[in-house]
Amino acid sequence: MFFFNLSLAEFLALFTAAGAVVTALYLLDRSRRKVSVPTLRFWNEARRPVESSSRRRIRQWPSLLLQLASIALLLAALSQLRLGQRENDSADHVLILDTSSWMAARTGRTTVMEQARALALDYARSVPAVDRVMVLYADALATPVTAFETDRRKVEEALKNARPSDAALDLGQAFAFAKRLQARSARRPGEIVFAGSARTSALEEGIAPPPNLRLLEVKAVPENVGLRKIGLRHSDSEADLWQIYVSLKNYGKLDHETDLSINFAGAAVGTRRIKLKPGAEVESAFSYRTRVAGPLTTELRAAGDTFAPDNSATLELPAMPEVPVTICSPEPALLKAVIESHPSIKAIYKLPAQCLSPVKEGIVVLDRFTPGWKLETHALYIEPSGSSSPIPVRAPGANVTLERWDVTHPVGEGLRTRGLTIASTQIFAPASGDRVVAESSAGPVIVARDGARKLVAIGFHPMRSGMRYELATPLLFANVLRWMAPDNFRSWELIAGSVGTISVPLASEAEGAGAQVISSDARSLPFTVQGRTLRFFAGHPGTVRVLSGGREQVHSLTLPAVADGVWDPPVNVRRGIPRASNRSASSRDIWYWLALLGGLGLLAEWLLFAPLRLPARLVRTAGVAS
Amino acid sequence: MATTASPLIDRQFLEKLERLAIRWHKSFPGLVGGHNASRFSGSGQEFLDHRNFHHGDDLRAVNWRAYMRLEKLFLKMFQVEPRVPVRLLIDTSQSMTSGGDGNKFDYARRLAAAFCYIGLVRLDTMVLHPFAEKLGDPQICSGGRHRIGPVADYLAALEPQPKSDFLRVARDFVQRHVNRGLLIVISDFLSDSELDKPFQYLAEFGHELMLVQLWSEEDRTPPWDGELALSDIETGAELELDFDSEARERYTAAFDAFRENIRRMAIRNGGRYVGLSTAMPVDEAIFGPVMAARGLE
Repeated sequence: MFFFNLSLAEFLALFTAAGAVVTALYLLDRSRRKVSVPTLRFWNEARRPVESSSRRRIRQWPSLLLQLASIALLLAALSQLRLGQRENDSADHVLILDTSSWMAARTGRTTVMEQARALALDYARSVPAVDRVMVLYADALATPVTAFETDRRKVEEALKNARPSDAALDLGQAFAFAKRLQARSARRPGEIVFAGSARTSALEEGIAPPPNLRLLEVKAVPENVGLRKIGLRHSDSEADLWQIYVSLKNYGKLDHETDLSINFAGAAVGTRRIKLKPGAEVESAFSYRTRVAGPLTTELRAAGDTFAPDNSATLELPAMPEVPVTICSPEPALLKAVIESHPSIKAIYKLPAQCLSPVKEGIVVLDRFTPGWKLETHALYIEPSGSSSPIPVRAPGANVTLERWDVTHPVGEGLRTRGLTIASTQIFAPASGDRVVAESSAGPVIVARDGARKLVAIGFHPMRSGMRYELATPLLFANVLRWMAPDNFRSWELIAGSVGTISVPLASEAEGAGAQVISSDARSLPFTVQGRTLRFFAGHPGTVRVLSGGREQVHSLTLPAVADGVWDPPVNVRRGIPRASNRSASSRDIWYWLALLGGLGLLAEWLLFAPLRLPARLVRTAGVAS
Repeated sequence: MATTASPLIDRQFLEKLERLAIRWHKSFPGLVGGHNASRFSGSGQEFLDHRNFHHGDDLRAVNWRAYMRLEKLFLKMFQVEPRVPVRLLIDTSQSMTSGGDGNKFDYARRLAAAFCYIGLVRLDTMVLHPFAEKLGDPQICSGGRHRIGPVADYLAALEPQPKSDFLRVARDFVQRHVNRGLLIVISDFLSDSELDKPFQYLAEFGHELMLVQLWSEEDRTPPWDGELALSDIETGAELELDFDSEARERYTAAFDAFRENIRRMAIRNGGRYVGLSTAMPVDEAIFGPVMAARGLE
């Protein structure tokens, strides 16, 4: 017999306190009460013999004893008194079930997961009934699925519901977590049992097995050739060219010959037959021209491959439209070199006499030309006349020196000149909200205005002034066009990879300042930037976009993370299912009987002894009635 | 109509008392009148007869209307009205303050105010005497119903005194009031002093007694149980005992026997007895037990 909830000392302390209160109330109830009365004349008549009074006092002692016994019974019920022996030898076991992606591999007619589950169920049934078991799913993270349970049905249900995930197993972290759970448990730590394939990553860091580890190994060694990574990059020189890189790996122990095929919206992009030695990783490159959006599917076929999830991947290619740039200039040849430098630009040259109707789309360049129509697109004014300039002209300037570029504005980003003199230019008087991109000794000469229709005004002609030999001239035009049509000048990269921690290299450290990481449901994901590397964690398969500078990377995290290492456990680790124990719970709960007895005791005390205290009111009521 | 705002007695209750009159039974030596109309003429208010004017008669009683018609002087004669002194003794000893919620002291003051108002309505003259160890200073109430205000104030200002001594009070009373009359005693009669002798003394001296005994339910049926340490509120005497239902029955029987003794003593001395529990409202007591004892009509 023992207390489940309290120690004996705690029970005695509680009973002493409750008993003291009950005894004090008993004595207070029976203590001599001081009363002032108008006369003692009638009280002498009511006096009882002394011995009779003593007998009465003694007669009520059972009331106190009954109250104390009832309180003791109720306290025992609260402290969950149990019949039988304390289960001192019961233990808490942690059953780690491998739910990494590798568990989806087939071995014969079953999967590795089914074999591991069967072993785990056998173990749970073999554990003594008094022991508690906690089920832990282990992949990249260790997740407890049950508490420490003696109810084997809950344990078996948790094991049966386990499914392979898309992440690789982190075995060291799973062992450390299981040890912490056992340390926090009030019972004696039992075994830490691992059921699975033990294919894990981060083997180089070393895995320290806990001393109470038991292994339920799945002996099957599946053969697998799979896609490890797919990368697509948009060519900088050709607008419709995509460069495709595919990385394959042979995870098995046999040579494999595999067929790699890539399709874009059903049309074949390329097919190759690749031979892979055990453990070898091969990269294959393809290129494909398209400007339209569509799915690019990569498939792998290898004889004897038992792990299918990493055999195919699909990436969504974005559309790559050209941006039309209409140039209204009396000398179109002057601007041809700087306008057509980017492959995404479709240049349309017109003489002023041909620019009679408004330009509806893209960008319009107005070289010394004042249109007779209202602007409907972004516009670049070059050397506008004083009366028709969208930015008011303060005065014409001659032989001015270009002194300062605003490199914080996208138009002036990266531009630099030294001692550049401009023979003739318009000096602008910018309005509030306008940004001065370049300023001369006489005043602003290049001004940008943001809005629904962006506008840049250059007070001089870069190709007719001293600036035509400067490196800043093509960069200025490139900046203007990129600022006005950023989507068309964005550099695209598409990568198919696995869930987990993703590292993205950045072109410069400054790129990280304005970086954004957006999930497929348009939520911003947290990330860190360290030097030229951006890192974020994706726990679930999906698409994640990384925007940094003028680049956009699309990570399609649909390939399962496959661990490429197998943990080799020490020889002294226990293995297999232990002999089943039939030992059942050695104690029985009786708290409800104790609570019932305590309640009945208090009721009996009230029925037996309360009438001795009640008549005062009853008699008084009778007196009033008479 | 006289009204009062005293907390002891309210207007509605006073209106109920308008038709009542204090009643006495004895014919007191030296006093004219009783409750039957007198055949003697005197200084009353009810007209009795005419007679011829004689020299020395009071000119205020001449019927001048008859003189104008008959040119003879006739004198109006009035019926003699009884003028029996009514005196109230109110117990103000400490024992009157016991009794829990039913405070006998307040009850006695309300009852005395009701008696005074009834007397004032009938133009009687009342004398109020608080008493405890000795007879207190009197308060004379006369002059009609509008004089109830000062009486109520006087009663409200009464303070409880330490203990009662009925024999000394009786002696003081007899010495102070030579004229016999109706004596209404409102008390719980719970005193260690002797009771028979003082009331016998008052009766033998010619006073008509009306003893109004008050008790609270706590006085008759003590509500306590178990070990009690009792202390007499007047004398300070102490008694320890174990009290239970059987003891309570014996106590109540002793109290009832005491009440019976008081009643017998009142009747033996030619008086009347009214026993009132403070659980009974004062108006119910006036129109119930007091009228039943023919103390009022």
